[in-house]
Amino acid sequence: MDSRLQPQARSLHAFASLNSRDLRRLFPVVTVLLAWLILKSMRSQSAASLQNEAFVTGYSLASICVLLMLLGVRKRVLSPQIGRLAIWQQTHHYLGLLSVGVYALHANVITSGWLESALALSFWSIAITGFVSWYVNHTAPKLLRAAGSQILRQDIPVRSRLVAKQAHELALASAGKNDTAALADHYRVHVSSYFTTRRNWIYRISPSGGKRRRLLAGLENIDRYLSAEGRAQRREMSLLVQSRDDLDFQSAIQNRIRLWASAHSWVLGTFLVLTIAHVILAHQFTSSW
Amino acid sequence: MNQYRLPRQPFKCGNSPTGESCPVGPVHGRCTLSQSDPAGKECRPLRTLIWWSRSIQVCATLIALIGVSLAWSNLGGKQSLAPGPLSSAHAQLLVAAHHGNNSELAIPAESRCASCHPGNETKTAKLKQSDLCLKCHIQEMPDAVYGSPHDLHGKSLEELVANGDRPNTQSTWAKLVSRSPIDWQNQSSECSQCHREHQGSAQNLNEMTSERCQACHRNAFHSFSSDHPEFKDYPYGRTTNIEFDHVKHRDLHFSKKAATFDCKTCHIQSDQVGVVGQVFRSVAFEQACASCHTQPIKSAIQDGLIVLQIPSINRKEMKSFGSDILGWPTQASLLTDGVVPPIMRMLIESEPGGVELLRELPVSGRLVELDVADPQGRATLLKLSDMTKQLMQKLANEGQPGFRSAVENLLSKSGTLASALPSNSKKLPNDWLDRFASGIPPDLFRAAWDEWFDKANTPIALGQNVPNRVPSIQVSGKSSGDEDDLLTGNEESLLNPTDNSLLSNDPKSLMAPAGKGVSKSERFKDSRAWDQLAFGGWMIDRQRMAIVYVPIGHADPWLSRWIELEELRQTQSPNHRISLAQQCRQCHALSSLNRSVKPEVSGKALAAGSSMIKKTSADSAVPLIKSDEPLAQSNWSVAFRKANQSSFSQQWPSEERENACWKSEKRAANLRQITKFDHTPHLTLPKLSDCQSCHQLNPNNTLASRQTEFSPMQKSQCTDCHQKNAAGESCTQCHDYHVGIKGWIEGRPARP
Repeated sequence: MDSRLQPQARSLHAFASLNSRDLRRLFPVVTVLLAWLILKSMRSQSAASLQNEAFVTGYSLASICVLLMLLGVRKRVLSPQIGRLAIWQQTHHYLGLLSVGVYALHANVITSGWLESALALSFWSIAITGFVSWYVNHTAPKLLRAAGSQILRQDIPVRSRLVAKQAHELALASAGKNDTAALADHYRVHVSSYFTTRRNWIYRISPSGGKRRRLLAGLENIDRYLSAEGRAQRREMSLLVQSRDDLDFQSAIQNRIRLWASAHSWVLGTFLVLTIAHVILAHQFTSSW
Repeated sequence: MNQYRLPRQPFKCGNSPTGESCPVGPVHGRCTLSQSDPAGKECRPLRTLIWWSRSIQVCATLIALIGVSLAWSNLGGKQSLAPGPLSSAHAQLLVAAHHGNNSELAIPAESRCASCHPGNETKTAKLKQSDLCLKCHIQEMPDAVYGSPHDLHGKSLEELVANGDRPNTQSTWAKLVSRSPIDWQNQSSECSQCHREHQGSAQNLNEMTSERCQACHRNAFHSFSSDHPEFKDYPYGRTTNIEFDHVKHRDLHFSKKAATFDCKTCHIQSDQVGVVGQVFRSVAFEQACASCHTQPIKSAIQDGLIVLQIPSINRKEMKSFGSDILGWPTQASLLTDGVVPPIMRMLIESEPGGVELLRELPVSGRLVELDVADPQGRATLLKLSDMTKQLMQKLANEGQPGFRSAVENLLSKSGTLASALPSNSKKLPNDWLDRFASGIPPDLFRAAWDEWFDKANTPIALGQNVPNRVPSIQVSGKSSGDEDDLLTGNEESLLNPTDNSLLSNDPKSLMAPAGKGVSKSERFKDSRAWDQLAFGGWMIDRQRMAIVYVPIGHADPWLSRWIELEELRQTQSPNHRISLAQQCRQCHALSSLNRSVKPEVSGKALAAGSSMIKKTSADSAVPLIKSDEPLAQSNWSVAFRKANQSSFSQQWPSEERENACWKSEKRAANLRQITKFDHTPHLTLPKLSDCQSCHQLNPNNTLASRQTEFSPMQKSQCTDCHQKNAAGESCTQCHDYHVGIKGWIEGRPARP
């Protein structure tokens, strides 16, 4: 093949090899991009004809924000349920992306004026929490799957208590014999607090396996002091430690998901109030639009 | 295990962590189990994330509501709602007014926004924002009240639109999505459409993107070099009142003198800054021209300008035909010769019967052509002598006012001249008229009369058709014809040596009365008076029997006024024009009579009947220039009218107005025109320091057939540097928007 055609051919080949899934993923991105370009063009034309282009972009942004808020309405309206929630969610994500682009057309990142700055701050708070929430929701399932079976967040404390109870009973059982007493001693000194107390806030923000690995290593180290029965008990204890860690991990990840999702709406009311004030002031104090 | 799921409840059972939660759960934050069984196990409901989230939402919303309400209710000052700080130019006004000592000027906090934004206050309620802008900016842009493109209106706007590019080149898409808010018919556009405030203190409100210009100039300019139209005749569209042949001076005069032909010598004044920097179309005569032209001017004026001359009439020949002029000076009685000088002609014309007398004179003006044998010829000579005496009596008696009134009478007689004057004034400019009489020494006329006619104090028989006349000069309390008359040399006269007048004992005075036994002519050497009048003045020329004015040289104020008068009267015959003016006309384009030149556009527009009305909030409509009368369309006459417009004259100092029509038109430094240029930054470049790199003489052009001898500038001369990433190519670098009528008229190039 002619060398000049190779890059083009590769592009065509890559495009042709796209499956429907990839195309479905590309479609909304392209749509958002197209919409943004249209708005940009409208803004330029508005500015070129001596209109106040901020009204064009402002009302576009306001319309997009209203559409974004409809997701919350859809979630709360039980009947009638229009469309699948997943589609609503996806639309919400892409509209959010578009809203950031339109904001860039409407105003600077750093604004001046108290009202406008507060409005910009609330907008960016919502946008950033939205992006983080999207990212967390995108990456969390894989993490959760790796951490064991599905479990509801409300059930995690009960399961944790159950695991703690099992570990305690196992420790009691190993304490009565000399060849297994080391396990009980080790449990009492190093492991019992792990089952009875909550993980610290660092773990809850950013869970890691460090403590689990230390505990498991510590349990393995006492194998030489245990009989065969004791080692079996030790392995059971290790499984309980693993289970507890899984539960804590699940709790942390699920809390993370909920927290960011919740934070996404903390300043929604503020945003609405400031937006309304901004629109009223813009119309009141602008002579030409 | 939990009996229920509570995904969106603000509270959950207090026993949830233990796994012993009740199946009902808390209701409105209270445990139903506790409620139902006070003696039972106490359970305190726990707040969920939902509760915290909603609490944060409510608190944040309340804070926002309170903050906005406070700001809106003026407690925090409405300025806290401003979208950004004002530019420093505007911000300082509000601050200064607030902190000033004058309480009347202080702007209350709640009214500061209303300074620029129409609000509910009575003063600003019915105004538009642009009206508030123009409350301060009206002086800079008086025509901006119309809110029309380039602040033009009426026919000027129509002409601009007719000659400009049209909004027909937009793409279909552009037409769909855009609309121009500028309604050409109603002429409404707001200041804020282009000038956006609240962008910070360092913001320059005058900065404008080229896209804004293209709101109307719809031929999109992607770059200056590719899209801007070619220059037509820039910058040489304007005519000049100075006739200067650059090619001839460079190739002939300067080369003959081996002098350097340097543009900067004549076009740069380092102590002044004009519209285009320190470069001017012309500079003072002393700087540019005096080194070569002073001597020729001196040579031309050395004989002076005859104002009044006693005609030489052969009395003997007259007597032979039965006519005589008694009391006529002997020195002027030998021959019938000479011409009536131009100024004297005009003075004669101003007198009753003067017009008829001038008609009787020969066309050439030479008296020798009058036939003494012809009774008509003799009558004409008699009338001329009579008129001469009459004039001298009048000027000697009335002095400067007499001179002035003579000019005024002359002008009022001319019907066409009246139409050349500003129509908003039925009177001639007073200071212009005063100049005709300024400096004239009445005593000189008296002395001349005394010298030439003092013996003729008896009534003169002037022939059949001319009434007797007697000298009308009187001394107070003495009757005419008395021997004690003022002009008889009586010791009690004002010419007494004891008097402190100019004509007293000064031994150098030519007018000093003779001492006893010595005739006047014998006391002093009768030298050529211009030897003694090297710096200008008046004299009696006994050789020519005339009163002569010796101009001071270039730009003589008295001579200038008479030449202006001649131009306004459009005196055609060369014999009747002031000869000294020929020297002036070599360099000053005084009229179109002596060269074929196309009239300036403004004159053309005037003749076309356009009129401009200036409308301000204070003034009613005042026509600035009314142009529907036929008049001489020479550049000079237009310049003369403009210089004497009462409205314009208020802006110019009198010394500027006086000779304005002789000079190259100097634009006011604050005058905006659509195309602007400043030489200053350009001249710093070595490549452009030579003026001829841009201003190239075209030897093929001749002065008679064109308005300029320079080749028009090419766009490529500018695009070499004015590119996007170099010197810049935005529209506002070279073009102003706020032009207004005055800038448009003065800056519009002449069109063929």
